[in-house]
Formats: sequence, C-alpha cells, structure tokens
Amino acid sequence: MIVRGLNVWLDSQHVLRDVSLEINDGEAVLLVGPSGSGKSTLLKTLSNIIPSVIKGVVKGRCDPSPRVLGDVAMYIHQEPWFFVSTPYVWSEVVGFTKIKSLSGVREALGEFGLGGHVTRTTYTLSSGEIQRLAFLIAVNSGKDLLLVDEVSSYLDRRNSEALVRLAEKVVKEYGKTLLIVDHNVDLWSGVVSRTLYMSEGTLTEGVENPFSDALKHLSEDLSPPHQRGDGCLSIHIDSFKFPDAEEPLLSNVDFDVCRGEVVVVKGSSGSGKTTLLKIVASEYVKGGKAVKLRGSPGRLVFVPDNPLLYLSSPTPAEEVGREGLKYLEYVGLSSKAETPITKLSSGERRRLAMASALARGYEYVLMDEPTAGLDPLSKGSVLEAIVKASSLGTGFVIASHDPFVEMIANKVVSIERR
Amino acid sequence: MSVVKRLTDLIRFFTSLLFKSIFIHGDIAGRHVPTALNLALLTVQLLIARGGVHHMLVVLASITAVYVARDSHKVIRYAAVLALVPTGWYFLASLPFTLSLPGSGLIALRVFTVSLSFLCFFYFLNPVEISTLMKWLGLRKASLYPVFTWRVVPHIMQDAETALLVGEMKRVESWRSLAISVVTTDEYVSLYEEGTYTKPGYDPYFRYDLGHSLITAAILTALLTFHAVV
Repeated sequence: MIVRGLNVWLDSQHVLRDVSLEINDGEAVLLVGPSGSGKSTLLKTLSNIIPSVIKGVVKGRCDPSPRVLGDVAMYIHQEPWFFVSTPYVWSEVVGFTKIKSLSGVREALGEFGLGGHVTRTTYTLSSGEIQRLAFLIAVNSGKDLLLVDEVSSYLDRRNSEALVRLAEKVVKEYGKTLLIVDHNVDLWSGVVSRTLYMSEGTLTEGVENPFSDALKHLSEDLSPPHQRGDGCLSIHIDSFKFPDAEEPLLSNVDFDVCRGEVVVVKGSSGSGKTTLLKIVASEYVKGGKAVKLRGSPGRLVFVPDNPLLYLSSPTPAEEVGREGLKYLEYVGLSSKAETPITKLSSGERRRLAMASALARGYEYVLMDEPTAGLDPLSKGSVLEAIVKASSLGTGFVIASHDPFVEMIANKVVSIERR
Repeated sequence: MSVVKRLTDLIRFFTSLLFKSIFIHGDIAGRHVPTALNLALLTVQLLIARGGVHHMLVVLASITAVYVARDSHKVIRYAAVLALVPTGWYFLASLPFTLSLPGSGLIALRVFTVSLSFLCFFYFLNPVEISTLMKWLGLRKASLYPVFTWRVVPHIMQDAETALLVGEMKRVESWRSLAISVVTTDEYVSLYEEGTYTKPGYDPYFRYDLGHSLITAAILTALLTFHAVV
C-alpha cells in the first residue's frame, strides 16, 4: 500500500496534512500519537469509511485506491463492541466468514482462544474477546489488511499480551498486514517492524517512544492525595451473583474509602470491577441490603465508563451550574463551557463529569475506567483532576486495569474471579 | 418518596425485566425451532384463550411446557412478572364496567394468558432464522436488520438503565436521563456504521433442531386436539 500526499478535511477542519506512507504485504506497523492527532482519521480514510460513512474531503494518491482498500481492509473500531453486528458468537462467525458448519465454528473459535463460547451472546463478550473474534473474521473472510484502532485501550495487561501474541500469529502464520494504532509502544515492540508517529495531522517515521516524556511525567509526578477528610464509607459485599448465574461474581469484598482518598479496584477483564461499582450505586439508591454501607454514606454518585451517561445537561456550563463554573476551570474545561457535550472528547467528558460531581457536592464518586482510550498526556490531566478533586474532600472509588491509576491510589483493592 | 424517583424506579425495573425476558440468554437449541411452528402454536393458544377459565389454564400449561421443554424455565418468572403489567391495568380498568371481581378477574386472566403467549413467542424467535428466511426470499441486503436489532437493543437498554441509575443518584428528572440515552443512541448509530462498514457482506445460515421441533409439534398437536374435542 502506497499513500502519497493524503489530505483530509472533516467539518472544514484540516485533519490530515500531506500524509505519505508505504506498508508492505505481511508487515505490522504501529501508529502512535496524542489523542486528536488524526490517527483514527487515517485508518478510517484508508478503509474508505471517510468519505463513505463520515462525510469529509479526501485528496491525495493511494495505491490501491481507498475504494479497493475498503474491500480488502478491515477496520476494527477503538470501542470494539461496535464491530459486532449479530447476537451470538456462532452467528457472527457463520454470517461473516466462509465457515458454515458448527464444527468449523468450534475449531476456529478454539484456535483464536474463544473455545467454549459458541452459543454465547455477543453482548456479554469482553473487549479482548471481541478483538479476537474480529481477527478470526478477518483471517477467514479474505481480508488482507487489518486496521486496528486503539487496540489495548480496554484491555488489562494479561489480555493485551494475549492479543499481541494473536496479532503476531495473524501476521506470521496467515500473512496479513497490520496497521495498529495504540499508545503502548513497548507492548508492540516485538511484533511491529516500524513505529510511525502522528502529530497534528502529519506523519513522522522512526520515533523511539514519543510518549517517553509524558510517561516519565506520569511516573514521577503522580502521587496519591495526602489530606484525608472527615468521614469514611465502608463497603462490604458478602456475595453477589447475577440472577441466573451458577457462581457468585463477587464474594467477601470489604474495604473502606474515606473522604479525600482514592481507592482503586483492580482486576482482570470480567472480574466484576464495573459490577461492583454498579451494585454499590444501585444499593445506595434503593437502600438495599446486598451491600452494607457502614458509616455515613453521604452523597454518592457513579460515573460510568461512557461518561456521557453521567451527564444530564446540554453544555458544561449548564451541567455544573453558575456556582460550579470554578470547577470547570479546576479540570481545565473553562474554554469549553458553552460547547455542546456531544462535541466533547471522551477525556473532556470524563473531566466534566468530575467537575459536575464537585459542583454538586458529592462526598464519594464511583468512577469506572476513567483513563480508557486516553493517551498518556490526556491520562495525566484526568488523573491530576482526580487528585485535585480529592484534595477538596471527595473520596473516589475507581475501577481500572490501568497501572497509572494505581499511582494516585491511597489503597488498592484487588478482585479476581475464582 | 418523590414522584420522579418512583417513575425512575419503575422505568428501570421494566427495562431490566424486558431485558431479562427476551435478551439476556445466549443461543440455545430450544430457539432452533421453525418460526412457522412457533407461529402456529401462538395462533392456537390465542384461539383457545378465547374460551373459559379451564381453556386459559390449558394454554398457560402449554406455555410452561414450552419454556421447560426448551430449556428456558428460568425465563418464565421474568415473563410472568412482565405479563402482570397489562394484566393489572386491564383488571383495574375493567372494574368500573364489570362491577365484579370475578368478572374483572376473568378479563385479567385472559390478558395474562395472551401476554404470556406473545412473550413466549418473542423469546423463542430466533433472529438468525428470520435473517436466513429473508435471504431465501431475495432480501439479502436487508437480512442483517433482524440480527442487528437483537444485537443493538440490549446494548441501548443497558445504557438507558445506567443513565437512569445515575440520574436517580443526581436527583435529576427522568426525562433528562432518557434524553441522554437518546443522544447516546444517536452516537451509537454512527459508531456501529463505522465499526461494521468494512466487514464482509452478511451471509446468514441457520440450522433447525429436530428434537425441540418435535417437542413443539407435540405440544401443538395436543393443543389442537384439545381445541377440536372441547
């Protein structure tokens, strides 16, 4: 694939500027860069999503043409659940590959680490499982170029490494070509032949690790909040299982969070971190007994991994109210006070949710995966905002698989599925 | 308890119930029965439900038999609670007209039976079969819609439930949470379009399960016999 002088405009904004690159058949290339630099735009242009699905102006030379590439390339979305279009694992494989027998489906799923999931509903698959399913479909449907966006965003270390091994297999055994967008350069170093760096829409080759300064800053400057406020909340769950499940998902979970403290709940994908936050939130609302909230629960709020679901007003200014405008400044969003929330990035929405929680005076905030999909720079600003908010007396319980989040933790609670 | 909280609780409760009644479980062999057979069963159940109390009890027994024989006994309670919603409504709404508890009770039992028959039909409806039938009818491009609906609806419902939970914690009006769910759905439409654009063309394929089809045919035959004899 040869690209020369590629320029892309979205909403009359010049997003890609004279991008040129060459990728050989069977090569794996990593593309890194800050959030908003144009990495996803490049992948979407190469797969003809821009301009076919997303309206935009594309100029430049591409061989083969984006229309041909659209047929041979497969784009795996940053949020991989948007890749799946059927309700069951087997129907996804049968519907989109040449495999039509159930025994063939079983064999293929086993090969991609999904054995035993034939009849499972796709809605319950984890991000890592969907990415493996996407690789399986690409390999068995004649797609030669895989464009994988923000591949490790929603994966813990173990699942990230498993996916890297699978990507290696897809390149070496099946001869597929991979263009991977990710923030974790070290993770991919053993698989990719080159690393490309994108900044403000332009592409540079041969960069060692463009995030080394940001990562150094994260490692050196982040630290847990120091001042503990008055009042603590004890969370205790004897046992929790979904209505039709055989085994409990959570049992004997017991920890305290005090105001001004950050408690991080860590565990691998599917271990029940999000469920833990949701049942605490749900029991708090209905005053149920499945969770014992000892001490004074105070005012508690839950910020889901999709922060849009937290927000309830059309603009940041309305979300925080007149009295809360200072908190927008606190999280670095004062310039976006009148921007519609639909136009904010994921990181900005998370920071807005935090400003809103501060403005509304919540004593405890339950946050799910606050750094998912963010580059180290944006990650730093979200984590700094959490530390600042906790210094004002807010207690945080954060579910995350991100090791950087642990750096601001006063306490780490580990939950693993037995 | 405020009206807003009651309303939010109610919406969350029914969202979760609908989710559990139709979408929560993975694929099972019991769902691999021809829709034509399920439709015939539903039609006969509705015909019999027009009769007296014992007719309706026979229909309810047949529904229970279908759920149990097709490995879905756990779903009965969710479906039954959901069916109680129109049942309760019709019971109360009919009281001023019948002025009799047994009279309204009979109406309520009929509504319950009919509702449960429909829920049972929808639970065992296999979207992959519908897609395959559409392909056979030459509607290949549109054949993705049934499976896609089954894929997307639980995603949206789960998010709506989360938005309502957060809204309740924030003590904001339910319409604000529902408005956010609509905005989220709108974003999802574009994201699904982006995410699935480069996938190969959808080519559905479906296999029927002989054992469960025979069981369903046997229940249908028993109901038809009852209908003919009684």
